[in-house]
Amino acid sequence: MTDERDPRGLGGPDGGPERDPVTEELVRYGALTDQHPSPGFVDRVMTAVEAEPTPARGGLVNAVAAWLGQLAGPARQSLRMAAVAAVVVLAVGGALIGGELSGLLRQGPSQAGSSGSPTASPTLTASPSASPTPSPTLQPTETPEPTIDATERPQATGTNGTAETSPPTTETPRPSASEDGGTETPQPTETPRPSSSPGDH
Amino acid sequence: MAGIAWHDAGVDDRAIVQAVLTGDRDAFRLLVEREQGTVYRACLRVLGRPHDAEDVAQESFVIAYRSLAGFRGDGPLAGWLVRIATRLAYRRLGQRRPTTSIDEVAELPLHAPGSDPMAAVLAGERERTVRLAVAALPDPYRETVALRFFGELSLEQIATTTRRPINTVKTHLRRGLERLRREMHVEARS
Repeated sequence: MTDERDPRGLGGPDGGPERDPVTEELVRYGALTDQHPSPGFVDRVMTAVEAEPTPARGGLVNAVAAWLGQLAGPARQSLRMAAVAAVVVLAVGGALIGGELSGLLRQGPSQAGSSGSPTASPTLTASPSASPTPSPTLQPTETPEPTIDATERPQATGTNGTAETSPPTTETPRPSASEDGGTETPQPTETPRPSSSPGDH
Repeated sequence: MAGIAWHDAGVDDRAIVQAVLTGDRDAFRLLVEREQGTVYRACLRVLGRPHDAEDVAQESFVIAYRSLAGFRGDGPLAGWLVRIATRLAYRRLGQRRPTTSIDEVAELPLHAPGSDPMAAVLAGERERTVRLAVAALPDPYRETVALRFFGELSLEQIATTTRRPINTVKTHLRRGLERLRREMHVEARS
């Protein structure tokens, strides 16, 4: 044990024989503290460990680790390379399969024979067709036409400057042209009423 | 495990770990018997108190037992254990720092006291200077210096245990020693 760790060969930073005062001090300090734990230390540790569960890694991992532990160094290296290669192959294969699946999904229902995918596309086209509903907004544009008529009516009443009963009086002379027909004769008898208005005097 | 004679000197670390993982606690006992000195000394060199060192060493073995499944086997099992122990020891040292000035007087010296009490006090003071100077180093310099001089690991073992290139370990050790040289020089002047 000591020959492998070589505590007495503690030299410079490179492990060489040269030593500076700090290294000398550290080596001296290490030599002064070359002690051992008190008797019964191992039993105390094992008593503490007894309370701990077994640090198991799981059945499969344990079996693989046990098998790897029996292999020699070169065999272990080659096995590690084979495992890395297998992982790379699995990753590339998984990426290819994933790419094909995503490509199939992007191609849509035209090439896919399944009935499940076409059901999704009509729902997408139906949603834009629902947008032309603004047709009811055209109806309010027809409503301004009555408002134009309403603006013309006050102009006719403003000329007389009298009450709202005046417009029927202005329309009554038109039946005078109907006198040619002779059918509505009672109406000309009402025309003298405007002439008796106080404005003439 | 019946197939392996645990008291053979050349038992592989991986075989011990595998036996422990399958529930063989005697295999772990062998590991404790084999590495108790190294782990305890590393803790003692960091902490400076035998009682605390033994406490932290025991805790290190328990934590190692719990996390033995995570041991990859790239480096020696002893290096893995010493690394756990030094980390725990420095954590313990950081927790007790507020009472350092009182306790340090009572714990000196670590070695057997000689006939001259003055020489023992001076030796104890020098030990304390070294211990605190290393503890004041920033990581990774502290870890490298501690594994090398307190944990008795070679540079190659430090490299495999910490999974760092060997040249990086050499650089960390050289810079750590340079910092220690400056620190201890200032300490000696004051």
